[in-house]
Amino acid sequence: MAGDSKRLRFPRYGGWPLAELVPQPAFGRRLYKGTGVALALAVLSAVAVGPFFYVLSISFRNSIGLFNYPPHWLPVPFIVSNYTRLVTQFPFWRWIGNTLLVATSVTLIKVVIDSMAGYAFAKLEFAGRRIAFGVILLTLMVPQAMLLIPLFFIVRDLGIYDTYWALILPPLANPIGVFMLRSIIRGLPKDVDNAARVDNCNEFQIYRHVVLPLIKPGLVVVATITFVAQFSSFVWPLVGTQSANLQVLTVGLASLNPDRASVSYGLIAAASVLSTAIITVVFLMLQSQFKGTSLLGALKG
Amino acid sequence: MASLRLEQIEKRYPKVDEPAVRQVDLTIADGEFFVLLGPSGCGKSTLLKLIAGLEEPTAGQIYIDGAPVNYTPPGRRNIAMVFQDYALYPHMTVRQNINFPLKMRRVERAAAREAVSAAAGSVELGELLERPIGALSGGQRQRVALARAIVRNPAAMLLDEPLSNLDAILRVQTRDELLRLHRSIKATIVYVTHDQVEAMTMGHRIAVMNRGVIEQLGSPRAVFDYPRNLFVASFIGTPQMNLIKGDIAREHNGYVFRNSSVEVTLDDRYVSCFEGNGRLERFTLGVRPNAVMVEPVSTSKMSWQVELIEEFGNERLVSVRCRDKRIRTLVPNRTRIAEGDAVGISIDSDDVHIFDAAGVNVIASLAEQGGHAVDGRAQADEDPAVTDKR
Amino acid sequence: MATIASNPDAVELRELSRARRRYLLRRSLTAWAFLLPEVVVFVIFMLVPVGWVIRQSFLSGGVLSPARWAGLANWKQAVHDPMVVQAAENTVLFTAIIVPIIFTLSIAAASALRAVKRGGAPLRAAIYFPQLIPSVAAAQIWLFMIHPDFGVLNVVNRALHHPPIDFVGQPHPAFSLVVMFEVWRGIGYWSLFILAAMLAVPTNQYEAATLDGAGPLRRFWHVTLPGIQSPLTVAVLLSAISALQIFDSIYILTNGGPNGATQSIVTYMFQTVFQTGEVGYGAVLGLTFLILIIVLTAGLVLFVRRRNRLQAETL
Repeated sequence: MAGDSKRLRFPRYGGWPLAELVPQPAFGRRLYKGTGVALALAVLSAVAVGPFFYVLSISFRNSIGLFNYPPHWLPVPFIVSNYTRLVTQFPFWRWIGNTLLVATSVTLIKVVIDSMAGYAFAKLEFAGRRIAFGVILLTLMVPQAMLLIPLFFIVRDLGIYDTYWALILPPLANPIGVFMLRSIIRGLPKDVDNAARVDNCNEFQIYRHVVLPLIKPGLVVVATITFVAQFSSFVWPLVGTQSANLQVLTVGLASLNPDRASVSYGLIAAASVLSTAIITVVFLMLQSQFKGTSLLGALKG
Repeated sequence: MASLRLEQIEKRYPKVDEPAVRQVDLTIADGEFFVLLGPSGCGKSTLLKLIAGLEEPTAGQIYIDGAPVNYTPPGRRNIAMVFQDYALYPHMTVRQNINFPLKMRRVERAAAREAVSAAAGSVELGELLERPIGALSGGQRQRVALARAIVRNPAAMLLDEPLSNLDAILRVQTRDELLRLHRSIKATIVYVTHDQVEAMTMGHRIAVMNRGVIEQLGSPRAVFDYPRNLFVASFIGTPQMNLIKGDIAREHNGYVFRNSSVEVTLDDRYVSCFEGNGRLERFTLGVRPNAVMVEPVSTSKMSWQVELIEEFGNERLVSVRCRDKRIRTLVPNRTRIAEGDAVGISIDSDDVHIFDAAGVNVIASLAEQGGHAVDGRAQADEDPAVTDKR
Repeated sequence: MATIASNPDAVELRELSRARRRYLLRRSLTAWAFLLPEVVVFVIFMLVPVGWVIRQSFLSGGVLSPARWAGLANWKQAVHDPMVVQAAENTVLFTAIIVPIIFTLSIAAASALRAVKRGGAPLRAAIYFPQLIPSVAAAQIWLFMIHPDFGVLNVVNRALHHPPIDFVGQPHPAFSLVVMFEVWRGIGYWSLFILAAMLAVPTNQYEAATLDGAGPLRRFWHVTLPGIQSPLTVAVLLSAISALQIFDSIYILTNGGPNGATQSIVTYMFQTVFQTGEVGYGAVLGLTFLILIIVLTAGLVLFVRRRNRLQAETL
């Protein structure tokens, strides 16, 4: 049989031949297996992060210098005026404040109601459970853009047009959280909820004392996804509000460059850099809640 | 401590043809150690969940201490349960786990503390109270599950295959501890297992279940000595009972079981079974390996060849073969026997069971014909009294 | 419910059925208590709008002028509209190109990430980065990169003595631009997802394969890939659904141009409603799109199920 020689080859460290292939606590030698991998990862990271640094450089420069060829990559001369202009001539802080307020509210509310609904779908029996879940699944496929107009009318008829409620309430209807948390709750240790029932818990107590503590990583995942999505949300805030003091970051950013024929490149670059920086910080904060668990492992199943 | 009664319990799952549990009638006495024994999928765990209230019966009534509890939530039935995977709360410490049922019943803190210590003490967990569950071994977790169950002094304790996740040595140890516990707290215990050794050594009474139905109900002795049908006969007893097909013939001195390799003269008990029965074919003879004797070829009619010898510790399990029939017999260690030898077989008519074409023990069916109803209590010609084994 | 009660007392039977009703009621109420907030929000902000859209597809006018029942007129118009065909083509084409590229690269990236023993966290963060950036900002960044004068991509062109590519004004480059953008953004998310799936494959399967003499490539093909088949299928499905719905990037980068070369059904619908004001027609487009997605998803799901069943049968 081919590969007979491989059976006799034991690695330097002893143990199974596999030790070198699957990530394990490092044995202290090379960080990467093979230069091929190192190269691939370097390219990957460069492509992923590169554009950001490119724009970072533009943000610290004067627009005029941009057009030189051959190009200067480094921001020389280094100026900060783009940033100062952004912050003083435009309601940048207002944009950020609004975005953070809306994103945080949506995230907090969504985590609560999604976990409750997820628990109901996972562990409770009630009439129409399968149908309801099917409906929710179907609506995953509904494009947000299709709902813009009717949402506009609904929001107006409810009297909340052009208020913070218009920004917070409609996004709550996204069912992805219910979907994910239901599968996570189903994956909890078998019979833990039954044990609680025998211990005289009603369903709400089970939810509070047993389920919630155990799905913390899942909650963080849902929170992260919701927050990032809200931060990035563009079209609905555009449609759902019109006052300048309700503008969120994305809308504000787009307003800097209405026709795609921009003049102040540096300004736009600065705005992009700042938006990205903010969401990155929040994201890292949320991730630190994780303590080593894989972010997307919770999505499986 | 309480008695349990189940009346005509049936459980059907939607879209599944065969019911998980069917026509179960049981009365479990106060303080009894009652075992539900059966292979996987026979419905024993479902039955346990029905008693606990975690599932609702499709039909029938459940009574705990005489009170109907069909629609009482599990927390209020005054029962405790130990699950097969222990179902401990992973995010809590040992103490918090044991304390949880008390906390949910608003037991006052000082009394609760005492109860927790007592429960932990009786399973020897005193030192581990502050440890998180994740830091415990399998055996320790099992004891936490037990402590959590006994801390409330429940009327009945339901145990779902509690020993199946333990290694062999731990299993024996824990078995003894469980029995000790039962004696000291005198709880009514309903114990589910697929391991017949556990069932036989621990239970006052065993209900042997198969495919949702109770095949036989009786003391371990009764179930072992008088199996009602083929299923019980082959399920109980290690090594497994030999089952041989053949016919019954009427001879001048009585009835004889016969096939191409084996002939056994049946004693007087069987006369009344076959009298007046037209068809005497397609019966099965059951005889346990320890009741099959090996003798020199000369003294027996047929010659059997030794095919396989397996070491069983104190004895050896010898498989012999004649034509297409195989029989297994237990012989003492010192017997001089080797594979390939030719031997004879003798079977004492005292030790055999005859099963009819439907798989029912002819003696039991005779008893049924004689008008004894089969219910949760005694059965004719089995041990009538529920005697305390210890 | 048949009961052979020990004392067939009529009173006790009534008690029992009352208890049963109370029990079932309590169970339903509990479930609804958990569901209520989500259901309320869901009905008001998802189901009602969808219903509205369905109704709207049969109306004309309704924004500036009072709505008139138009029956199937909108639908007929959609059938004869060449832009619909092109938008549909583009939408499907986008998905058919983007999803395979994303997943091929994601699987490669995940494999590379898996080989990293230490210090993987900053790498994973870096790869996830494009996903983090708000789409508007990301699109802006790309608009910078494609700029004919100082954009990175065109600088490379100039160095190679090619004329600068007009990513926005020419149909094929515009299409590629959208594809590149979405792939750039999507790899981050999906490669981490696939990495998680890969890490869940039990190590003893690799050990068995190694004992059988399989080298790294074979192990990948015979252990890793089958091992992630299930989550991978889910991922492809979800990714396809969201690829069909791409909106933000097209809107900002090309706005469907030039001449509808990058117009997807969603962007066309948006334009119809917000720029031309034909709400009814836009509704039709939206619904067509929804039906398209449902059909495609159902088809994919059935296809996968049948393939799994066949596999199971042949084993």
